[in-house]
Amino acid sequence: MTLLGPEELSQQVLDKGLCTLCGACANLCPYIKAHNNKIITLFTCDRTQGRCYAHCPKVGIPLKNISQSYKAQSYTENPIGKFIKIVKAKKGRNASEGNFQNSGVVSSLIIFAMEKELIDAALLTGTQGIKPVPVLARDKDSVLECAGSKYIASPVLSMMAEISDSGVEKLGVVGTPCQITALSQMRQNPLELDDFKDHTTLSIGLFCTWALDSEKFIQYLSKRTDISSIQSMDIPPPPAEELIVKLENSVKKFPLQEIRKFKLPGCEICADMTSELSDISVGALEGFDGWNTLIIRSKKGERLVNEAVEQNYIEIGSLPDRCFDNLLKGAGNKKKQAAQKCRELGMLDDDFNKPASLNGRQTITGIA
Amino acid sequence: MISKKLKHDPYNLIITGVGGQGNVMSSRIIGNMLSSSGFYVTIGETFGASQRGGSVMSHVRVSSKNVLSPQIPLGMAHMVVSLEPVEAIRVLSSYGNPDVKVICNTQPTHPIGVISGRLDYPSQEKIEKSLKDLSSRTWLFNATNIAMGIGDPIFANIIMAGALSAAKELPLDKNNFKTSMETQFSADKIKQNLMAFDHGINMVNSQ
Amino acid sequence: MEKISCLMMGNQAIVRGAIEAGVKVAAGYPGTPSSEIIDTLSKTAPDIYTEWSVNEKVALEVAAAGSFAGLRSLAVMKQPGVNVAADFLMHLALSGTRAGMVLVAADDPGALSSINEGDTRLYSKLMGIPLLEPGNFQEALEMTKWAFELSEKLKSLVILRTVTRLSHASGNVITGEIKKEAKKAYFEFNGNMLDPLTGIVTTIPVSVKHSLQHEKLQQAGEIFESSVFNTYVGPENPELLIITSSICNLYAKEAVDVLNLDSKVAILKLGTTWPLPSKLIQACIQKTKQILFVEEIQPFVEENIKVLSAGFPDKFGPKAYFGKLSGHIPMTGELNPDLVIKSLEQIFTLELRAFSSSYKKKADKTLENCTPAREISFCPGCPHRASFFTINKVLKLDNRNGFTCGDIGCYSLGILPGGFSTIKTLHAMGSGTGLASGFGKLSQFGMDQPVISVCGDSTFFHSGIPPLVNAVHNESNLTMVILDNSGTAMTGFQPHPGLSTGTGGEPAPEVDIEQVCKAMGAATCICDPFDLKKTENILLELLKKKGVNVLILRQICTLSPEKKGKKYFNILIDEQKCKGEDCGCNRICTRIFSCPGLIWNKEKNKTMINDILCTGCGVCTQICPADAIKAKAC
Repeated sequence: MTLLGPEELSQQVLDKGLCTLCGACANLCPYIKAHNNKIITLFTCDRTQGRCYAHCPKVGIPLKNISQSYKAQSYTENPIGKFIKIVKAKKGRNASEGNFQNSGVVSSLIIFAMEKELIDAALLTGTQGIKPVPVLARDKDSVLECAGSKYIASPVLSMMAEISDSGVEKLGVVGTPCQITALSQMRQNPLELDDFKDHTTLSIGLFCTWALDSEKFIQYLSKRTDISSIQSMDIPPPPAEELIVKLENSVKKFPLQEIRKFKLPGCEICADMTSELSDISVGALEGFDGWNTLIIRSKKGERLVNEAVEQNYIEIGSLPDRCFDNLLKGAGNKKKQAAQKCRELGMLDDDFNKPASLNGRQTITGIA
Repeated sequence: MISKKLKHDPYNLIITGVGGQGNVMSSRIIGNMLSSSGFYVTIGETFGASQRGGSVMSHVRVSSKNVLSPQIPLGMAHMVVSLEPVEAIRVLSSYGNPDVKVICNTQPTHPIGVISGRLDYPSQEKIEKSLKDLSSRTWLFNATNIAMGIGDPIFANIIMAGALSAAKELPLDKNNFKTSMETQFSADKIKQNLMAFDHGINMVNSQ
Repeated sequence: MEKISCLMMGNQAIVRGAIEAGVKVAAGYPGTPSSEIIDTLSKTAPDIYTEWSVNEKVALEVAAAGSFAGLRSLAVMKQPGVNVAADFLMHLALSGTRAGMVLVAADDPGALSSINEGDTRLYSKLMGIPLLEPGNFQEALEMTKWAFELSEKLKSLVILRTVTRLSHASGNVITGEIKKEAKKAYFEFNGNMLDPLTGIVTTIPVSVKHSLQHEKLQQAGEIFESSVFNTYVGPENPELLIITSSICNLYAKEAVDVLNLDSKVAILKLGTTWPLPSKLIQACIQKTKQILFVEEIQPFVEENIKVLSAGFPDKFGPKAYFGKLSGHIPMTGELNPDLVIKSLEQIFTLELRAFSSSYKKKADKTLENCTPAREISFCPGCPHRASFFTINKVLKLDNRNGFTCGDIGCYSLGILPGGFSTIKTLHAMGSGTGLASGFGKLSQFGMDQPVISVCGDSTFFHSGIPPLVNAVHNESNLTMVILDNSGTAMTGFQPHPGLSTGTGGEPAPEVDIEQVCKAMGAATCICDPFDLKKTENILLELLKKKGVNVLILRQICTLSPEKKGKKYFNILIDEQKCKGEDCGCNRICTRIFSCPGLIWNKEKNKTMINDILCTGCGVCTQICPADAIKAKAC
């Protein structure tokens, strides 16, 4: 992969609408900002290499290299990536109560990691109204406030620059596959900067098939319901084809067919359903209400899960074969569809990753 | 009306620089000195938008016969006095000719394109060579530094006027200058101005 | 004994002419190249009532009141101002004047300091107003003086049209005596209603007044036949007759001299260009077979002489006409001696003037290699740079493809890269907010882009108020940003109604922009544009709000006499912190913000401060992401 700059990032990703809002390019410099769940380019920047491009999970990050160097294991073509163990899991007796999506496993693991001082803060996705926002949680209560699926994309990693200046030494990150991929790339220090420091000590990846465009989706909902009374949202596993919105006193259902219209186009080129580069991945489990699928991928992840089980923060059980097969099938399908889409968009062509010839190396002060 | 003779009639002088350097003041001072000696003087100026950091140019035309167009025809300048080095070159490309003479302040004022790193500013050597190539006689010195010594970079104007008088191209002398100063300034200002004028004379006489 | 001449700018000569004529009332609105006229009058002639009016129409009305009350009066404006004053101008032309009244209109051929290339002369024809065009500095004085007499004789307004190259150029002028006469102002209205000196002053009955106006024009034409301002110079039977007016007269003379054509070419310089002195023109045209019209902007004299020729075919006979219509003179832009030389070379099929071509080649090459372009931009420490930086940033963050409608002033430079190319429409005074008011009503057709208009403080009073009222009443959605730098900065800090000083520097009641906007019902707030974060936050919120919002960004112009030389801060670079190209900031301070007070030092790989230019506003310290630019309070 050639490490290019902001012009190429715009040309290959942003202008094509392929950004899935991981936020890894944003707030690193004065030019690219995350604002209101959008990535905004403020002024032109003509640098030929930048972290903005190097971090982006949509420009063809070399998964093999990352996997090799950072997880000391070769990349696998297995649709759910390398793993040590897959189990079903739910929150344990000693874990806190909260408004969880499924079983509260993610919140419980993060709180446990904090209490064990494996991490001293966690980068999570919280909400303002129903709009997701990045949150740096430093205690149990703020972790619990972030519980629940958002379905809406939010540039979580845009907080990384701020966090690295904030004194956090051990950071846990919970994110979607694109966010975990970008995070892994960030941790590689791709531009080999002298003052780089990796603060991340734990990454928990979420399963994801797609995320929604915040503005369009909220606009849709606000025309049909009082969004201020929304308590939570859920998309139950197939065959249910609906989004269930829990309001203060009632429940509203929206056909998934409608909702999919707001999914980010960039999600279609994503080949990762299960956050293959995380320490631990967590997702829904079909047919077992109140349980999650848990994929343990790293030694560190394994230790954390084992201890959490021992201390009753989570409870695990074996994953039925049928569920494992479905998981493989789902993840495999996502890979196939993504490959197809990438081919259509010319992203697999040899010359895709080449420097933009550019409307000149033009700067704001000069009319070229 | 004329007591002195001109080297060329009309004599075409261009004073150039960057907006804010006091170009207009320079041309007025020189123009007034010549006008009070009985010559017809026409000064053509650009101001307005060009004040905001742009190139500025005054055409000073001196004749013993009549009023002239405020714009000198292309290629017909006899002398270019420049408060900024690349502006001298810019003027020569339009109004220069093999016989033109140049008095130039060597202190650069960087254009926005150079500040922003998009354009390069030529080296002092390159500028000096270019100016010598494009004129029959050049006088180069850093008038801004001298002016800062007197207390304000704006005195570079007066230094250039002094230099012009010493170049003996136009009938300008120090008494003439003194008289014109006395009508405009207070005693302490006159002292500084006369000092600046002398510095200009010395710069030319020493080259 | 010879009279002593002094060096005067064209505008100063006009002032001197007006003073010599005994002008008592003068009003105008600042605009390059006309501003020095009212400025000079207000500083040098305390016994004249001089006023910077709120706009040109009001200036013309104020001056007309002087004339109606028996005082010689003068109105001064640049050409676009004549457009603003045009409604009253047409009525004034019809109603007639009493004491001598002159409108000095300053045209700007080549748009050196304008954003259009209007020609005031067409108003003379359109509205039936006698027109004079001085052709040199002495004439600027003489003609102005005479214009008052002519006006008084005809009881009609007279237009004196000057151009930038005359107004702002200087030449020798011999002054005359100043008319000193005490006059009591009194408006007489009890006489016969049709009596021009004692009746009511109006345009009705139109049929009567219109006929009267034509009689005045006819009378003017007769006077012009023998005017000393129309001159013929050259051989009795020239091969070519140049007909010219205004400063073009000097270009034509120069061209003839340079080409040594004085035995073949004659020049008819017309000082009185509307109505045209028909008999004089006929007589001169009979001397030759070829005519070249040398004039700027519109082919005004050219077309009207051709109309004359159709009326007197036997007098004019078959002639070859050259000018703008034949392509010998450019249709647009200002003229100069070289363009006239070129057209003469064409007509006389001369070889092109011999430049030392090797010199020219060498000079052009040096120009290419050695002279970085000098783009115009905001001054060091200009509040507009900070304002546009934030507006541009906020529109991007808002992410709805919002845009900015510009207006007239220094801040028009916001259309250029130095203003981050923020402005997307730019027209007449006040038009930015009018356009924004219109854009803000297009949501019913699906338009969802937020609209900002920018407007200067002086422009606000001039013509920013009516569109704001319009927007409020019609429930438009816009944010008007008033860039209040406490003066009419572009033209030299003339006062306006928002300030506590009057035209001559005397104390004057100020009209508070904030209160005016609030009284109209616009949600109004004030912020200092040098506080980037605060301005950004306010503006981000305003863009989300419906209705009409006003944000006054108030910070005095760095060049204003009160502010000049005073620094808020000493700015220093922390060289440890500035990592230059290694920072990742990609030099946002010098590459994007581009204040001339900053220097990019390539060798040191650091930003530096230009101590001669830096005004210590401190804005760059807020832009540096590495905190490498430090402000120390002065």
